[in-house]
Amino acid sequence: MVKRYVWVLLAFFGFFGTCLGQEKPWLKQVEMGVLGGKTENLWDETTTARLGLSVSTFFGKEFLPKQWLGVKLGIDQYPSVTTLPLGLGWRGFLTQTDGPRLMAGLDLAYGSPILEKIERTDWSSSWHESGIMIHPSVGFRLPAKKGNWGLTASVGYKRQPTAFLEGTHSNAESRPRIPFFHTSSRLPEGFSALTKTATLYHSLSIQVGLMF
Amino acid sequence: MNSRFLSVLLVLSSILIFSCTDEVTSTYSFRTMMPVYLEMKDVRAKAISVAPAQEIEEPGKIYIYKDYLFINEPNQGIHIYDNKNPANPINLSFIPIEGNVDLAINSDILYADNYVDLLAFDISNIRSIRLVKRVEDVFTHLYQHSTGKVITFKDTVITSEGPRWEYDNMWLVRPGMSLTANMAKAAQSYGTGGSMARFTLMEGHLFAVDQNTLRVFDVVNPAEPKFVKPIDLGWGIETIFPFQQKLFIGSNRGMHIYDASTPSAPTRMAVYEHVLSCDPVVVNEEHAFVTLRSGNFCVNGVNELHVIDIKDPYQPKLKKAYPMLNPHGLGLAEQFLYVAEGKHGLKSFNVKDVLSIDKNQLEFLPSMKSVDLIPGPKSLIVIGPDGVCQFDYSNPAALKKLSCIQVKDPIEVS
Repeated sequence: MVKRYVWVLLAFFGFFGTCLGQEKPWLKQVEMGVLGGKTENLWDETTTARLGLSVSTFFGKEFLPKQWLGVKLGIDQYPSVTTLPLGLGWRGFLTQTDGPRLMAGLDLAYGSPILEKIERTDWSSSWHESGIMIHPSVGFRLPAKKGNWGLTASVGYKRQPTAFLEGTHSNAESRPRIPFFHTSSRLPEGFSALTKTATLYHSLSIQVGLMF
Repeated sequence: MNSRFLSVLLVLSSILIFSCTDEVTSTYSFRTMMPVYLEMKDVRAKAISVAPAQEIEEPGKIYIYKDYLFINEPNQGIHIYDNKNPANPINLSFIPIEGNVDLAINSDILYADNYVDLLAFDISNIRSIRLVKRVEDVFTHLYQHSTGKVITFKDTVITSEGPRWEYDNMWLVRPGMSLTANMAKAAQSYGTGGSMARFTLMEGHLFAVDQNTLRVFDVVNPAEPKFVKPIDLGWGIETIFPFQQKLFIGSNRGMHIYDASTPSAPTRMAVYEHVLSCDPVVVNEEHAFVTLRSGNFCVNGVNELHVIDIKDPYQPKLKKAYPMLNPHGLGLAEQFLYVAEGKHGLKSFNVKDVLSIDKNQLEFLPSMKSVDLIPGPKSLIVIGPDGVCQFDYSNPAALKKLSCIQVKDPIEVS
């Protein structure tokens, strides 16, 4: 698990380092913040507040005036799973002044649960699945007094479907293959029972960052 | 940037954080046996007509007759293959028979069970098969006494909304443990030398076993089968094997030997008892070969080949037991014994010296997963997860694969 995190951080900052070396019309952004929301407890149907960390980078190219399209990589922490969103992002500026600028963003990414361990015994397996993360946001950019960079702050809504699956093997002597996505009502091959707890996270995101 | 904008952001944040409630759902999917109740009058009212060739979904029992291969699809019917060339069997047709798990053929008459009834088909013209006789209400163990309806079970996957603990009282069934699967597996082949049959023919009579009863039919006139009588055998009956006017009946407690010299009234000669296990039987003049295996309902953990001296059929004696991996069906051809070792593969032995069978293993094909086999006149027919495969076994030490009929839903080897 620790090893996986190290790899992710290396990729993350490698990506960020590449961004720093780029010239306009490239746009680079690193953000860090929190994801907040309320989650329902299936046992007693009460809700509890949750708060998790979120770190992301964006690296895009200007394709229309004041609009950038690029790739997005991040880490999002939820109570049941940590995801690695990898996908596309859009950034647009609503005002063009030398001072603070209003901006908006939209990210679409697959929130991979690759950091989560698959648990296997002779009798059962448990694993995580997830889906496409959608993250619209609005915020502003405060330019630095010197240099071509600025501070950003944004607030947004993040939608991330996830699922935790626990399956009982049909046969203790052979471990069935874990399906990449389990969407059908049929049992995956080699399983006699499957419990799927699907959580669709609706989060408020509050992030601050640097933009180059 | 002004403070008004910050205020808007804060208000927005507050609204969002208090309105964002995650959606949590839990579903529980499990395999179970759903009872299906049928009125036999409805089953009988349906005309049975031969259908074009269909792909095999799950092979059940196999029967060789002349140049044809009959493959049962448990509870669905019978596939017919032209097997003149075992390297290229040709799928000819399919007889849809509800509730069918077994078959036997006598002088161009095919016998097949249809829930509680026995059907007889004239197959003298394989392209024009006709139902010639229905013997009603003979396999009465399928009746549910309180309603008079046939009860059968369907292997079903149920998906329910709600977390698992709400369903923990339900009967979870591993596919390999389902009744259908067990009936199918226990009846996955038949023929001369077949070991896991529940139907067999001898001396103008058809013998059929279910879990606790041997049923005798007079088929002296093949097209006019007549039910003679049931004989109680005790619980756990699995297979029947005929040899020289004797019936060797495998149960999960042991092997019953019946004298069938008067075929209409077989009489018990002896019972060879062993630990609770699954055990198909094949025999020659002097010895019976019985495999005991663990898995499914056979929970003892024993995996052995027993060689039983039957020179005196009234006093069968264990001669020697050999450890095996997970033996399922077996077949005997002259002095060579073939054993389906489940997921571990397929083995052949020279059993001329029954005291040193372990030293005379001729072939072991670990890649050929198998649950049953029939040493046929042209080929060794092996049922495994990959389908129904045929081997040239002219040299038992070097089995040569000739063909494989692929199946849609391979049987699970436990």
